[in-house]
Amino acid sequence: MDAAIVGLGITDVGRVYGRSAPDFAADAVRRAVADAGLTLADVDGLLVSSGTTRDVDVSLQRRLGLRDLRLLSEMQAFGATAGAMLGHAAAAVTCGLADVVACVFADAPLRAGESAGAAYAGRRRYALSGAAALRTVAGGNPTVQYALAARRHMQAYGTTSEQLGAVAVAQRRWAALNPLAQQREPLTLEQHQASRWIAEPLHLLDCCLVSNGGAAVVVTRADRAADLAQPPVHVLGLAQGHPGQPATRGSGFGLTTGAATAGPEALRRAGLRVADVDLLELYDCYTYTVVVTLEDYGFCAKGEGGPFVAAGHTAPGGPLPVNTGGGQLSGYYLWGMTPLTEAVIQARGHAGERQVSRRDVIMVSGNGGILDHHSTVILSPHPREERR
Amino acid sequence: MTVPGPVIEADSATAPFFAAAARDRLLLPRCVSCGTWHPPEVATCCGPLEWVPAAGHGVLVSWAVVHAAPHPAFADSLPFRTALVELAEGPWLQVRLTGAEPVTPVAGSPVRITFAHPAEGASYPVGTLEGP
Repeated sequence: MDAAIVGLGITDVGRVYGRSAPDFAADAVRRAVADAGLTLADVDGLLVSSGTTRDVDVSLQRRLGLRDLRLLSEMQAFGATAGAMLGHAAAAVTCGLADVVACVFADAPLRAGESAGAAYAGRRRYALSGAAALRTVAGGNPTVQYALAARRHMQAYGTTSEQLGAVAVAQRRWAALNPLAQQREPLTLEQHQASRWIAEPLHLLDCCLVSNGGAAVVVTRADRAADLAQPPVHVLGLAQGHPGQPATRGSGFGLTTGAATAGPEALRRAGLRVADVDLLELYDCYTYTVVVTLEDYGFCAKGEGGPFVAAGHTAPGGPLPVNTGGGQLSGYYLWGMTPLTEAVIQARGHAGERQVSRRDVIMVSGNGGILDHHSTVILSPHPREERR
Repeated sequence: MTVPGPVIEADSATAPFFAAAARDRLLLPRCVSCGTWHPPEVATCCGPLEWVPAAGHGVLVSWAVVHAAPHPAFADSLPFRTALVELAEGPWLQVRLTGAEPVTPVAGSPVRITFAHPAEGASYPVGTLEGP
């Protein structure tokens, strides 16, 4: 793999109303291309993705007026899509299928005067027939399924709600330093514990934000990256993991995820080990997801993720910065683009007050479905051979 | 008693499952070739699958207390418990837990499968905790 991220575009994000997902997507691509010092005429590849209602599709090409693309697809692996798009783009530029590929995500679930919870509830399609309907009448939905996963982790390893709260508190401290973050006011563990239950054991403050907005990255070959406007961010390693765990005796549901295979594979492809990683940008749809991903990646032993975060290792000033922009819990929720955009900002050294000092190796996760899909990306300001 | 939640229906693949639920019987798919039991959503094994009566009990794998309505039809029934149950045959089934619960559940708590018979739509399995 010989690819680099050379452009980054993030639209206004959060409670931004009156704009459609395709509008945000087009805005994000324009910003990312300009950021790279390129023009839309240079783009010959476009990969698009959007939220659960899939409002952004390949017609984005026409909206942007892109001519003669050599690569174009809509991609969907839920929260693992950003990593999957980056992988497809990196492979394409490495083998010459395209030279400049824009990867974009946008979504606009929030409507004025409506709560964040209503944003998804109102647009959700419920399974009401066949075997899938059994989960619906059992009271399941994505948040409830993550609560079941978190409870299983708690029962197996003794993980506590307070430890999950430590994830939220640590990330809010990072968000306080991030002007892009939606939630920046201080947060205490007591406030986390006092926040209402959504699906016990998950409190409101265990759940990610809901955001309108879009983000895009531009990918090209590493040798071309040197001439462009921004410091290149090199793609050192990539992997996906889709465990397909059966709902039957012996399932690791809640205990382990696709991170356990994708993380080590991405590091191996980069020629690196866990000890080489300087910071982590982890998909954090729920606090629990951070805990289980830290374990599956091998930053602590299985079952030790809760105590690891509660000890302060991942917070500002800790030895392993995690979700330095506040993540999806406190920053902004653009699916896998949340961890990926923050990783690019940190790799460039453009993170201002929250900039970490050691940023040679950045590990980025994506997680989709109910822990069904995982992507891992290893990024660095340095090409592989020149690292350190 | 009114059954909370939305109205659901069988599809062609699950018609035997829901027909049995109407008669308070739990069926699970089992492979004719290798004998492996599967959860209701599984449609593929090494041989054809047939619907076979299951024992109708199992143990708790995990549970959650639902406070935000996962479907508008649950709005008047909050909070309630949903659970993943590992049936005696091995497959997992997600069910709403019904009835008074005198004990705090733990992983491994015994669960008996019973059936909800809504006024409209298909009957379906629910669970009752039987002990600690």
